[in-house]
Amino acid sequence: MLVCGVLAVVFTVFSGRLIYLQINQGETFAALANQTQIFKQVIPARRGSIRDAHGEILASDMPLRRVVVDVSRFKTEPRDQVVDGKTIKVDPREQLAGIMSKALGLPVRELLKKFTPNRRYLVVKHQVSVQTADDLKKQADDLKLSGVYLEPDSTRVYPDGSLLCHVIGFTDFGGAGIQGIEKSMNNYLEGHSGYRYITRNRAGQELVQSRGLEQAAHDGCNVNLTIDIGLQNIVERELDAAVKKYAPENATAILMRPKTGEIVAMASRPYFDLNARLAAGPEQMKNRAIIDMIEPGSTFKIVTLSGVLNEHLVRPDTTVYCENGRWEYAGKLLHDAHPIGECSVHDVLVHSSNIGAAKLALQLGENRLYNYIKLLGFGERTGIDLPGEINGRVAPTRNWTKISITRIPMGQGVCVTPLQMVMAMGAVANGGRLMMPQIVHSITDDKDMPVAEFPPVVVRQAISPETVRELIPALEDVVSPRGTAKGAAVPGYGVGGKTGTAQKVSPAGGYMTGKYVVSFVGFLPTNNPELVGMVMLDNANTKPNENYGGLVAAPVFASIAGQAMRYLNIEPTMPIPPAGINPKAVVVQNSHD
Amino acid sequence: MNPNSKRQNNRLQLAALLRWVVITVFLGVAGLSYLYLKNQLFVLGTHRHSMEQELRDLIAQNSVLGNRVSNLTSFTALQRRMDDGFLKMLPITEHVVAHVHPQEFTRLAATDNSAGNHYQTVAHESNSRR
Repeated sequence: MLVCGVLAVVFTVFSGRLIYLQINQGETFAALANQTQIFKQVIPARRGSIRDAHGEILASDMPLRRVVVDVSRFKTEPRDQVVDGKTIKVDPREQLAGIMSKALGLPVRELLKKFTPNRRYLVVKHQVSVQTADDLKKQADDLKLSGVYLEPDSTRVYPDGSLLCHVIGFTDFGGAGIQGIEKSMNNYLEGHSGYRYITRNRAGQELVQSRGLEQAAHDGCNVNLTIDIGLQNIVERELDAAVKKYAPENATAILMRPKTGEIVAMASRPYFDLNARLAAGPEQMKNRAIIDMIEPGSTFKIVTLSGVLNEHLVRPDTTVYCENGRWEYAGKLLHDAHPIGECSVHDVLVHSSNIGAAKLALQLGENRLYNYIKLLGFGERTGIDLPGEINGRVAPTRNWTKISITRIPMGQGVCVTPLQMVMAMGAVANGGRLMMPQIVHSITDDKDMPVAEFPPVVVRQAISPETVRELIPALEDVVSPRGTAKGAAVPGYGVGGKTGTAQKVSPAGGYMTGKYVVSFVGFLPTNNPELVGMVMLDNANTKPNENYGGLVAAPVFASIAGQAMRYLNIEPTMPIPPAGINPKAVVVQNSHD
Repeated sequence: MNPNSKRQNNRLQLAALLRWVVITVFLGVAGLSYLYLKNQLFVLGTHRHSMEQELRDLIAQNSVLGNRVSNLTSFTALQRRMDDGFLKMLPITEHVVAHVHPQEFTRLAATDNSAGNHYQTVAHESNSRR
């Protein structure tokens, strides 16, 4: 009876305690239990690929593994191991360190140092290849060594290495884009990781039947560029040859379709390898096509001529007196590289007369000149989908000096990016319509279904088609034996363009003696322009009397353009001279610029 | 034997017995079914887990192989192979290229054919992009 009474009291006390715990502290204990059993498992999303216009992969995610250990799950009792026919006792930690050392190339001592007891999450190595990691896991499982886990990891690979490096850009260690398309299209590329709540048993295995809330991962979209890797290869190869020949401080080349504004190739030198980006310096990483500000030199004369022709102030055959190469305005002398007397407006461009361009600008007036500079897209970002693009610098007329009106027409006192120059020439080649440059053609999801398309955008009708019709013959003549850029001629195709030779601006003010930025910007075929291109070399290492856009940059353009026409299978617009006859060899040139 | 004495027999309550048997069997089957289903849930869960793992591995391997293919067929890789002499390209010289001429040159070629014109009219499908 007494025993029964005691038992009844004990059970009553225990029951009371259980009721108390359940009611008062039930939630706390449930949360504690969940903490050790329920985990939020992240389902990583795959970053999308970057592809060229034909679908060639330029950047993609490579799956890798992260090797993780839970030291608290390591067996501690020594176990038998047969070595050379003898059975010896080994410590499981040392055994695991041994196989990890072999597979991952890490010193055993370092691994043992890291294996501190009760350490539940230790990343042994990031970015291990799938094969190596799987082999390691299998070895550990075969030896019944618990506590080894593999987690998904990835790295970004760029199959073409340095090709198109400035445009593609790269990601940081966390996988977020920090330069180029990787940055500007990061929102599309990155995707959204999913998650699921899982329950694990005491052995750490997932109890699939007890899965909780689940959200699937959405892989990143693929970005399809307008870049044609075939053309890019041509451009980079020719640019490399030019860099080898002239050893400039830097060089840039761009190819664009004038009708759509699609950039089909864009390259800068110096450059870097995307797969070895840690070794690259800041100068190598600059995409000079959009972040370098240069004084354009004579290529800028197309702006003045567009203005005076568009305003019907002159006709192409109107005569301009070019003062035989020396002209004083506002107390400052202006020179022409090759003195001429009277010449037509057409020939002002063909011979690249500074004095002629200055006189035409005076006729146009400051405000209208400034207006045409802005209309052709200078002084503002073009809007290309690449990070870091700069505006350039076009001072408002109130800040102009007395001589600005004579210097700006020849490309001094304004700063532009190579891309702005290409877009302006593109407007001339496109019937006066200024296009927005396009580098991204479309976005598709992981199943290649369209997500977004980027149709061509007309910024504005900068000049009239009539003006273009008057301007193009002059630009064609620039590339003729009479002009400054006979080296830009491409057999079989009408080429129009303009050379530029600008003295380099000194950071201390003024201009550097003997240092030039030489360039050529042109388009072809002139009857139906398919490509606009620019080649620019900064401080080319050549003889002083050969350091001209027409002699250095124009032949590079011709070489690129000729190969590009063949690559795109564009029909020649004029007869091609038979092999062995070089049309460039039989003409006499009288000016270069 | 006393004829009045009636032999007392315990009659079997078959209905009640059957009811209890059915209830017991039902409870037993239900319990075993529950156990079986619970076990199946675990087995299928494990199976699903291993299938998911296998699928993940296959996707990873597919990506690895896709990347390897991209690396081996990229422009840079082909260029490297050409430099190593593994691949060779024969340049197509200008004199073996048949050029398509626009109307005016075709007409010119037709009229000048007797004068030993170099350019011949050829049928050629244009393949220019966009």
